[in-house]
Amino acid sequence: MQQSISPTLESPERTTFWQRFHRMDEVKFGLLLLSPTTLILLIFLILPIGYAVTMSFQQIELTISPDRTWTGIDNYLDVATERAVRESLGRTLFFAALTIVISMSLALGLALILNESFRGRTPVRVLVMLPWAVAPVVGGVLWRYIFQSNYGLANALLYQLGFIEHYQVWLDKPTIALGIAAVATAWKTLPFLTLIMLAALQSIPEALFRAARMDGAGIWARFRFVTLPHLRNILIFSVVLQIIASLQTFDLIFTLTRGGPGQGTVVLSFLVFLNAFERLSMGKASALAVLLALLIIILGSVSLISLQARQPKS
Amino acid sequence: MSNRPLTHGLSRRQFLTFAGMTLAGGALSACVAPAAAPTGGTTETAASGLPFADKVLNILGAQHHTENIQKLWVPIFEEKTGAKVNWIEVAGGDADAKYAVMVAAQDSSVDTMYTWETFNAKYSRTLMEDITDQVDATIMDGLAAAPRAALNFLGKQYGVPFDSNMAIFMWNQEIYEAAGLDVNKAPESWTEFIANSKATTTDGRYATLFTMGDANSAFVSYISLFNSTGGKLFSDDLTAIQLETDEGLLAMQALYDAFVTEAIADPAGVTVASSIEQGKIFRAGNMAHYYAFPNHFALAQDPEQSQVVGKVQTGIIPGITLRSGSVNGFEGYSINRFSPTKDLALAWLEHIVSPEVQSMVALNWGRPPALTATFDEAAVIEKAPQFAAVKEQGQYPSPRYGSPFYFDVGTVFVEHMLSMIDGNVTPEEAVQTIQAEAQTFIEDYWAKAG
Repeated sequence: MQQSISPTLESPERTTFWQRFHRMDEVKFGLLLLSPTTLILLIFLILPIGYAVTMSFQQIELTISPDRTWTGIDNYLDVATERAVRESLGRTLFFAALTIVISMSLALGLALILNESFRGRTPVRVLVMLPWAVAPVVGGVLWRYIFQSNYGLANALLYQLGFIEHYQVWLDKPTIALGIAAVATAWKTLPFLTLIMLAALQSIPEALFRAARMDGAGIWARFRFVTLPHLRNILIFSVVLQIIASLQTFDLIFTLTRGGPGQGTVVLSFLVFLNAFERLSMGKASALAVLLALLIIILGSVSLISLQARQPKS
Repeated sequence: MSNRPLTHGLSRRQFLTFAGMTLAGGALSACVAPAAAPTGGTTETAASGLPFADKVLNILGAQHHTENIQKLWVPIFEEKTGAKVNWIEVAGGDADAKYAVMVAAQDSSVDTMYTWETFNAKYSRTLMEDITDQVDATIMDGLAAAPRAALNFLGKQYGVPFDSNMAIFMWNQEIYEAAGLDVNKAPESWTEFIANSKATTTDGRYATLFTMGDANSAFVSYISLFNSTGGKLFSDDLTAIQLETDEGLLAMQALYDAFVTEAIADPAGVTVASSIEQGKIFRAGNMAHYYAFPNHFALAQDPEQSQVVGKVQTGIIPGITLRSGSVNGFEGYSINRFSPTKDLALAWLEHIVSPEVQSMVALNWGRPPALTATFDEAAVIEKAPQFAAVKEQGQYPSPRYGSPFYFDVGTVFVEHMLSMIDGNVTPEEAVQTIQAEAQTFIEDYWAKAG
């Protein structure tokens, strides 16, 4: 009687799904774990972005027809030549620069203060975190009421203290309104920036400060040659974050000024909204949104590269 | 990364089981019918032989409609027709986004939705059903002409109005008395308005406020003056703007005088975009008079919201050339052209202008009704004295000049009017520039629309 040559060849051992799953290597298992997030990002981020990019090459005028026609780069050309876009771009860059200067300097100052030991430091730290807990829309309404000309807090306070003789209209000049919007945005992002700077400050070895003191370094010298170099990376990170946040600001502008006075605070993100939901020009709004995204990527990258390039070589 | 198999901790079987259960739970919860789905009562109504038994009407209403329309008008409609109503609410500020998405998606989940003159012009071509020959002519004939016309776009009717809400003149009698003015007499012309305003403007308080906070509010402020000059802003076919006229300049000059020459209009108006905020300033006793929507009168009589209770009087707006002119805030309902149940939606449109509902508009809501006969009901005359002014105001022009290019035109207006108020351009220059720039937008629109 002829025996089978080999049991493994004749009847290979059948592995179950569970066994195969259990023997899966870490790379595959890692990919499996990533798949839900990837799926969510794909559905809610990648596909909409792709859809918006597609729409940016189409004429979609919802006051005329729900139909869409391919127009190539016409929307981009329209956007590039439109006066409202050029003015809005200037406003956006001014607003972003102002927001970054205000928030970065305040956050650094606050982090330095909170890094020191003083009585009541914990409650102060909690207070500093409060704006973070306020929704942007609520923040916008709050700031609007502070600068409301008839019954706002700013007028009442300044009038009582004798700094102004009459109640002022704060939001009637574009530059001032944009400045107030920048302060409000900085106020909102301040807690997060302070927190990460504080964390970075606390990671600086105390021995470095002691050594600096022994070498006769004063407060400024310790800050300049010990603190700042250690904060460099976190400062770069914060600047990039602030650029992204300020260029994306919409909700606060919407509730604070609604783009006014006139078009005085219409930044690019708000202009996207106006084109999409007031003018109903979805193609043009999409082109503008794509350009805004590119602007954010470019500005973020340029800041990152230029700031990193200045980093001293160890 | 190494390729070691996992040997401890949460087993992969446990992990997959947990993930599977989570997914299954999520899927199951998504399958549960929404709580608001109108499912009950259809058997009973089907047996009753009512015209729309077993049918469901999806109404997209404004947030500020819910209190009255959903709670008061809808139950009567359900009883009358046998249909069930699914009420969908949208905040006023979100309506544009919602409607835009409905157009893009050709959404049929809504049968009827709220509208007003601006929306009517904006969405008539793409979202709203032409109901010109569908609504009973006798019903339409009973409605005031102005609100009916407001929901008509280029000769076709796209909606039925349920009110004749338009701005009237409202003044604070206490401030008038303190200024030595007749507390029972409204100014009858722009000249008298300026005189009264100068008398009631004091150190730290302006007589009035014109909203200029955004494109819409600035445009409305201008139009409320322009409508009393006898001017007509657009050609009949909406292809040309007619601002560079004597009437256009008169209204612009009036606005300039109010803000600059006479300085009787609160400069804070350039930051105020809504009549609600304007009304709050008046109710705080900080304004002598303004162009107000009639429901502001009821608010001014509410002790919880007003410091001027019993001190407010209403009349018609003093005109520049005509005796008066106003701007409307008429609201109504339209039929979604993608709706599968247009007959039921049409029944809703006829319901909102029925005498029963129109009495509710006046008595429960405090809004002037669209049905002219309702003004003469004894209860309405007694409970809403401000409607006498509305009825009289209705004799004068009040178009809002809704158009598909409303936003662009409004943007041009606000930009150059603010520039004028800041002293950068004269009223003549403002009119010329607005005329030229707005005309470009209009031509661009028609070039695309064909």
